[in-house]
Amino acid sequence: MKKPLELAVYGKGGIGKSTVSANLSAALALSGKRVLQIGCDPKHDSTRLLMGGTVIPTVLDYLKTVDKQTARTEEILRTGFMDVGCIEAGGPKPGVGCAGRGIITAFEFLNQHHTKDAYDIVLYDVLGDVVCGGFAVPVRREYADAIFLVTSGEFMALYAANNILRGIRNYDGDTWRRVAGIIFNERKVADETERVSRFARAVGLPICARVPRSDAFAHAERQNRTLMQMEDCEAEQNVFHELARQIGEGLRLYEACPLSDEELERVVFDAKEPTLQRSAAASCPIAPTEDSAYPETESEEPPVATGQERPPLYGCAFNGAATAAINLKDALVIAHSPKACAFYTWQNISSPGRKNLFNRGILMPSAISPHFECTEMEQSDVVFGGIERLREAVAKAISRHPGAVVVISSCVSGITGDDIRSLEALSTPEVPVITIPADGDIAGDYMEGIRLAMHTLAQKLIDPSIRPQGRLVNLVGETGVSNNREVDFRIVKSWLDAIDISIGCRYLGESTCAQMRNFLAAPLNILANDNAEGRELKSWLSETYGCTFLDEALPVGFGATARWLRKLGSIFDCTEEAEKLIAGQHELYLEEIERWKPVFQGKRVFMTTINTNMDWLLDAADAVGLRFVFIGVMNYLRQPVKITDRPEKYPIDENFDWSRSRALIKELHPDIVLSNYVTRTDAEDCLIDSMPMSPVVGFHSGIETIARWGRLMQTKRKGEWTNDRSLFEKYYA
Amino acid sequence: MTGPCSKSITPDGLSGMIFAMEGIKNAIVLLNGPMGCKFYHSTTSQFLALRPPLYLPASDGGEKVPVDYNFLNNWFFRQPRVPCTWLDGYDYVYGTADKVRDGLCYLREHVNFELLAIVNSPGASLIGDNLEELVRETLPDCLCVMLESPGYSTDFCTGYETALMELFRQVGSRLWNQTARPDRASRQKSVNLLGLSVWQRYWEGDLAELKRLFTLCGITVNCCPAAQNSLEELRRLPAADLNVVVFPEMASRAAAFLQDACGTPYYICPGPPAGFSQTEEIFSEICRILRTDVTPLITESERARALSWSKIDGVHQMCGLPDGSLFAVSGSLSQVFTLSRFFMEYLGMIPDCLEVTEGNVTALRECLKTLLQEHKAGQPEQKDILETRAELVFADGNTIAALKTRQHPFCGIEISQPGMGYTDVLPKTQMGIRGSLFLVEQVLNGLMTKL
Repeated sequence: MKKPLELAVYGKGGIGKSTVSANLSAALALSGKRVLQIGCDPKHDSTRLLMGGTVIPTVLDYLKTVDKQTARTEEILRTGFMDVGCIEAGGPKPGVGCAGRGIITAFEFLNQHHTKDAYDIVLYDVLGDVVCGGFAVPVRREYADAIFLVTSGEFMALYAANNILRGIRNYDGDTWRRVAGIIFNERKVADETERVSRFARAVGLPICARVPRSDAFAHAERQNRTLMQMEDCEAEQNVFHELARQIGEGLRLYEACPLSDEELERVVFDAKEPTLQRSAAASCPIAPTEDSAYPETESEEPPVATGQERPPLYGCAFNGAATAAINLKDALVIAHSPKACAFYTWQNISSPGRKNLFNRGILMPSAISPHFECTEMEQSDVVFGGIERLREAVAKAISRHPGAVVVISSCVSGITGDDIRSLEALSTPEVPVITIPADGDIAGDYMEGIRLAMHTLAQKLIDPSIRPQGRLVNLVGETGVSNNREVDFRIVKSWLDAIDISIGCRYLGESTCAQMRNFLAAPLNILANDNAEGRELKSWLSETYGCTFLDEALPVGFGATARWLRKLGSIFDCTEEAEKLIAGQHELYLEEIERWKPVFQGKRVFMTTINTNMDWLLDAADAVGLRFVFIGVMNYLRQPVKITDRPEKYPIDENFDWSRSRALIKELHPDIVLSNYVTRTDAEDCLIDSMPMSPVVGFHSGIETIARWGRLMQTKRKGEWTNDRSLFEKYYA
Repeated sequence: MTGPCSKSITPDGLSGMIFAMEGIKNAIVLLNGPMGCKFYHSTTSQFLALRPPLYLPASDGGEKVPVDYNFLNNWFFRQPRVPCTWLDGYDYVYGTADKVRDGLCYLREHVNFELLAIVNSPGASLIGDNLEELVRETLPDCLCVMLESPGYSTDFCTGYETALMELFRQVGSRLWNQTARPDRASRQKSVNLLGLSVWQRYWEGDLAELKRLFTLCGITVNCCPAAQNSLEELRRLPAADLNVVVFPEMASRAAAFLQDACGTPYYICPGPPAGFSQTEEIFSEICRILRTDVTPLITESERARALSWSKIDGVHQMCGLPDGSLFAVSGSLSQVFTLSRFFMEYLGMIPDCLEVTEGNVTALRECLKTLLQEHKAGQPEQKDILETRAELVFADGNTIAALKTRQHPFCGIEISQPGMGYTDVLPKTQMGIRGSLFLVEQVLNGLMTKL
């Protein structure tokens, strides 16, 4: 798709850049261009003249009141004079919030909805100075192709223009040229023309247009119109027609060469011009290009509940992304954040690693010694931007020759507007730099971070030219933080070894970048967990890379495991070996069922759960004669749930409110009350127990869980310690 | 990959602030931040200390009614510690005031507490909401500490000490105005212990041991701010005769503040009282200042040394250890100095690596330097902890776990959080006389003796 030409108009507040922008948009539209003007000022009046005086709703006000998933561009895009598209980013009330962050949010929304695609030219009218990273967003290379500076001859206006050049310089260094020149908006102050000319010469920029001081502007403004709609002001209109012509024919662009404060003062007040020590040569003319240097922001989002209330975000995307990325075991993951964020992410990663090592003697290298570091953003980075600190960290990381450097942004670096994507340019042929703009929880919750990391790492690493071959499978979507992950893996690996199938890549679990590159070598992929995230990943990999998946995830429970092995046997032509595996376990399973039948026959079960896919347990419970009188699903995430393949057999409430459980238990008189956490009830005569949230894969998970209840029912059920709650309250409350 | 491996990332000032305020009984810490910043602190805090249940707000003369955790939804998210305002991207643009206000109202209606602390997350601190105004509007009579700037990547002790000083500054005047100052000369001497935190690995046992030793010396412990002190204890803080700073990097500035505010003199320990000599010296000095008798403590220390001798001698006779055993310590400056001193001077061990993770007290650095020079120990502080060849490594669980992936065999001994996964029921201590014995026990069990 043809990318529109994006122009940014910057200048000191009150200098008249909105008037200039509106008239320039109008002139461009009159020259036959399809123009979109985006006002980037919290006072949101950039497009007022184009809109005939109508104040339009701002993107941020709109997004504040609607669900992100259902928001539509049509609600904030208006059409003004000559069909110029008009959008106002908006911002918070003065004195609160972060207006810069607001600009970023609005831009993300416009990108996600491809709002700019329908236009030839996009014109950003941006608040006065580059006061923070947020207001500098239009300057970023994925946005502005060319930048105009609006200034008068007043010192503060020139000071602001110079500051904007500094902001641009920060992004472009001396390798990019994106400054189109100066739009001189006359104020008729003393020595004005000479001042502006001296400044232009000193910074090596042309004066592209000189907007005369004229009553015509005030007259047009009183009528809520642009000058281009007025009569008898041809001279003023020609200024904008000429500027539109320059843009249409292709602008020459220049390097940003700001002056020091001393130089600026000398240029403005002392009429001395510093020697220009820079190359200010023009680049090639610029016109609308075919595609952007940056990938577009993805718009695909998992469906979530709609509504005016924003649902809480459980955890943050930064944490989720880091937890996923460290599983790429030869990559070095850099958190661009204060130490706090990296600290609790490290704890989240290492907690199962420490417990597995300490309690079970299982070594999980990525979890106990992750290649995870932090830029440790300080106060100065928050105020002045932390991109240089990050650049140093990335360069240092590359020198250690990891398989890849993965950079993840926190909410602090997101708010301050550090452009982490720009560091992908530091990639070398051997060490790709991959950036994941999680921005803390701004990109979403923990699971969204995992999704973001999985997609990004796949996109950057998987070699699409590799073709499937041999007896290989990939394991896809293992849980990032789970005490069972390595136990499950060992079980699955033992089955696969028995039927002579190798694992190509664990995506993502203790894999290397090379294994990720060869991902497509495996003819078959196996989903580790049949949950919403796993299914989304499966569907994405199938659509993007044409991956073939086994139609069942890693199995839990006897029936599912037997079925799963048979399918695998059939695909890889090793049915006999698979049957041998199943037969060996079937006998043991039946023995256990027979053992527990007398204990459970006719017993009633009340279960509440946050889990889905409970057939691993229900099958075994049915086999021993247990009867479920109620299954309540605590569907906090309000996602579609599937508890069983035989829903007609069980009384299931898919949106159960826990506060009803006491009354329901009283009414139903169950023998066993189950939930994910042991919960106190008024029913003293029943067995209360918990169920594993992540059951171990394999034949016996269901019957082993039931055997535990059986043992509890056969014994006294409760330890004496349970009677001592009152003592705790007596001595410690 | 070449080059050094990633080191364990230690907590920063935000955690220091949260755990300082979580160390006050019947206080609620409201984290103004996203849930990503909440979970670790909630989970950890819940298990760091024996917590009574949360209660509903008190009604006149009624019984205390525990809060049902199942109903602690939006603010607590079913975790009884550290509720949060669950900020998202929109709040960073529009400000957090609405959520903070709603959270305060929820707490006012549903939970009984005596002190409230509001801690901004790093992201929330960039927004600039007026917390004071929100508290005045919703909880005008509440004792509240507002910690608007958690610092960015400052160390744990800086955050902890900042919180402590803000506690004194913001609520001290309200608490201490009502405190009658007893005549110090006419009663048993008392001290406040500053610098203890519920986040320390064995804080409960440490506190119990210190209290026991002060009792032996005829001194009572008046208040230990941020180590499960009650508001009542905090109220009587100015009544102590001396503030004892147990960890210099955690509370030296706070002690100076209290001297100005309450006139209480202070004594800064050269690291915590751990190891026989250091314990004896610190208590002797405090007894000298307060003019009490340290003899009972010295006598008990001698008995402990006697027991220790017999156990060490048993090992020593078999294999000559622990003399010459290589050890490594990764911890705060106080921990590194104190443990090194004990291991080098008392046990005759040799430092292979000493890594200071936080704390920058010049006097203590000098002490450490002198110690190493006196023992001709080289420059073990220059060595990377992940490259240590020590037989005994004293560190947090993360560092110990990371070292387990290397080929070198060693015994890891926890001195700071997080642990490896062991749940302590019996409080243990690495401080005082009992703590010295426990350290000896850990060393003897960690050495590869010839059996």
